[in-house]
Amino acid sequence: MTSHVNTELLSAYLDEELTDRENEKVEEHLEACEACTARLDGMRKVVSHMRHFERMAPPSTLDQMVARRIALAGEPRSLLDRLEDQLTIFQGQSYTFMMFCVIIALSVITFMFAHTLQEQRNIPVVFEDGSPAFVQKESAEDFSVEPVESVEMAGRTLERRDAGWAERGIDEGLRDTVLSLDWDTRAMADLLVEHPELEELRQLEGPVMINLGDRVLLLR
Amino acid sequence: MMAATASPTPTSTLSSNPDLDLAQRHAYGDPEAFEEIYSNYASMVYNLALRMSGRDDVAQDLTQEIFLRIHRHLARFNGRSTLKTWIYRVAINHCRSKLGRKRYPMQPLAEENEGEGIHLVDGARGPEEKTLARDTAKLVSWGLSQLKPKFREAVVLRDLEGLSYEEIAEVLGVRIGTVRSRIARGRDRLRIVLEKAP
Repeated sequence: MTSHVNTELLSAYLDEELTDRENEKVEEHLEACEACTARLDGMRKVVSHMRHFERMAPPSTLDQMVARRIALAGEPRSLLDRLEDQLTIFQGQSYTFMMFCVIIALSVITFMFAHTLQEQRNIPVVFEDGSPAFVQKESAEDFSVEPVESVEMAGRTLERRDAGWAERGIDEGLRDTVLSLDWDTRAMADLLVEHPELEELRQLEGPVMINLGDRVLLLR
Repeated sequence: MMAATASPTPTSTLSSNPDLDLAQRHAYGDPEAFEEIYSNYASMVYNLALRMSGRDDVAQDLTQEIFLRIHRHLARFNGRSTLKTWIYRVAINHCRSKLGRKRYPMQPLAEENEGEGIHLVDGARGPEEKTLARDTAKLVSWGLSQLKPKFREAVVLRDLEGLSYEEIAEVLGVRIGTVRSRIARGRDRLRIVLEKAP
């Protein structure tokens, strides 16, 4: 015997929603299968019960209640009510789709917010070779404006007086470690807006080296 | 029923689609249009709300809210579906949003509501048939309350409301294959529930 007829086919068979070929197959199977016939009879009974279910007449006062609701609705409505109305654009869509839209909207908002925050936290500086970079504001705020003579960084000692390492820095793999700025640049002007206390260091002779913690800022 | 001021309806803009015509008359402020809609669909909406919630008090609230929505949004009806399926859609969506996944304990509707002055539509039956119908109603109501909402919606629309598969697909916003599957699974679970019932 072939395998049993699945529930979906049996149900559609009751509704005469099968193709001729499907119909033939189901009938052929039913002739030889008591289990499927019993299941079909059970389902037929359910449908019969449902179709004889008595419809209730609405309460006679319901029309007045509806009229009252509509009259009240003419009055100013709360923001929540109006928002609920706007959500009717989702009519007919599954909750999954609705949740998908909400998640997408939240993701976009979060991204934009994070991007704005990131921009606010970054201070633009320019490398020796003119390529742009950013100093994280947290570290910039934390740094001490006290110039240092030397600093241990990237496994080596960088001396303030030795200008050579700064000039060779990019070639020597210090690109991510050294931020070198000239006083008379737009990037330096931006940094001075954030940290006017740096202005005092301009009088010092030679390059000024500041320890940013994870990087070195060299002002020349 | 509804108190509103009618403004002259520009008949030239009315369509040949009676459903769209009603919606347009409502949009132009003709109170009789909404009265006609209420009179045609009140029983349908109330019974759907009753089957979805299983409680008369909840069904009455739902019906009021559904007609309020219809009143507000009828102007958006564009005639691409029938007004009947559009109203079913509004009603089903409202029931979903209000009821969510709640399962109200089903009341034996016919029995209790008769005492509250609600009459059965089919009053021509004899006492024995009425008793049998009430027992069946209890059993089916209880069985329906055991179904997941998505199966209950499909079964109610098909077997209680008599909608075609195409109409159900339109109301629920799903494909016909999904409708077929939901109806089958709902019916099968109902069969098991009813067979296990004492």
